[in-house]
Amino acid sequence: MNLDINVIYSRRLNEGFVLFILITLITGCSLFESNLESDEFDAEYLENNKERIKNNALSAQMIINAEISSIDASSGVWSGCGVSRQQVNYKVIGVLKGSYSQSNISVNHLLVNNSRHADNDLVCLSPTIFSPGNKLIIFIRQVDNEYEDFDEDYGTIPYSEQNENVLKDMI
Amino acid sequence: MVRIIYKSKIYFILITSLVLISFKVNSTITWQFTTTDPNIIALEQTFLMTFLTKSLTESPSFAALFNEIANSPNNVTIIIGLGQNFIVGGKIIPVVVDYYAGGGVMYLDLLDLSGYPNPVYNSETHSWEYGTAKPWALTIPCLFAHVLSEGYHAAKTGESYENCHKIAIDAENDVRKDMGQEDYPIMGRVWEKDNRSLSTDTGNINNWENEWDYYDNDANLIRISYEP
Repeated sequence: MNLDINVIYSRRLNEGFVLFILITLITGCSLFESNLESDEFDAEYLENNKERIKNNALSAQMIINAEISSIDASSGVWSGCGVSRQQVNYKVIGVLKGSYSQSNISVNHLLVNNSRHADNDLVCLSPTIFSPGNKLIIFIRQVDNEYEDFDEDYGTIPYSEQNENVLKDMI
Repeated sequence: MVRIIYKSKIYFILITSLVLISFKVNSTITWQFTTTDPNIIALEQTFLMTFLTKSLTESPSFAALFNEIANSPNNVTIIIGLGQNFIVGGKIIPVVVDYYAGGGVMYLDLLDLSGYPNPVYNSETHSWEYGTAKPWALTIPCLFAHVLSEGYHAAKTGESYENCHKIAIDAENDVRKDMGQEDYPIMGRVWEKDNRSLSTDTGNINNWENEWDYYDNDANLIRISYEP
């Protein structure tokens, strides 16, 4: 009888041990997987241009999360021999790099034809990216008293917690 | 109405032929015209050849840049557009239109370039007269250098506009030095310096016109009157 009880205990201990190992492995794998995910942007086109975005993140004086409140009129001229920009006004959500204490910020974005930021038809910023309510992460530099971006394709990326975490790791 | 007066037809034909031949031999620079109007194309070709020849013969820096592009595997496309106008302060102002489109493609408006950047409105004929006064004839090679350099570096490196633009400004300044024109600003630089906008909201036609008054517009090489 005692022997049977010992066998049962031993079996249960073995089963418990196996279960413990399995749970540990599953938890470990999922933690490992979530760590992997935090290294990646939430969209493939951002991942494909990760090096350029990293350069922008390192070059920027400020990186800000912000929501678009309004967009000023376009000058109607693409950048060429002269640099052309269109101003976008934002409500600041958070500051990832640099220091900025005000609740609003106006950023002059490059107007470059055929760029990711540009509209396909009109001489203006793309309304798909730049519309009131859209949340963006913006790479900014300050020139005199004004703020501007410096990359017509990846001067901004869409805001998400995942994208923010990737950028935090980069800088 | 299109009216062209050449100072020397024979000289013009000779240099035009030379440039045409050099294009045929080794150029990877493509010049495309957006218009199908043969008169306009003829006019734009006239500008192109005249100003290119002038640039090639008078600026070693421009010639070096041109040769580098022509002997490189990178294609640069310059799309020549029809004149575009901007409304500033209630008046129609023709200005030079050029822009970067990435991948070695540049858009350039030669009709506006012909009077770059100071056309004169003729109230009798109701047309804009584009005079290539001496300072302008000398700044046009700088503009050509800028456009070619910007498009070339975009094609060669795939870098963002700003990086190509910085290199293009250097190329433009080299040509300006060759021609002894360091002190002449060009419109793009003034725009950047003053953060000037051509929008109807902020444009000030009087200041804009006065900015360029000190240039002599009479010493013309070619004078063209064009009414769209």
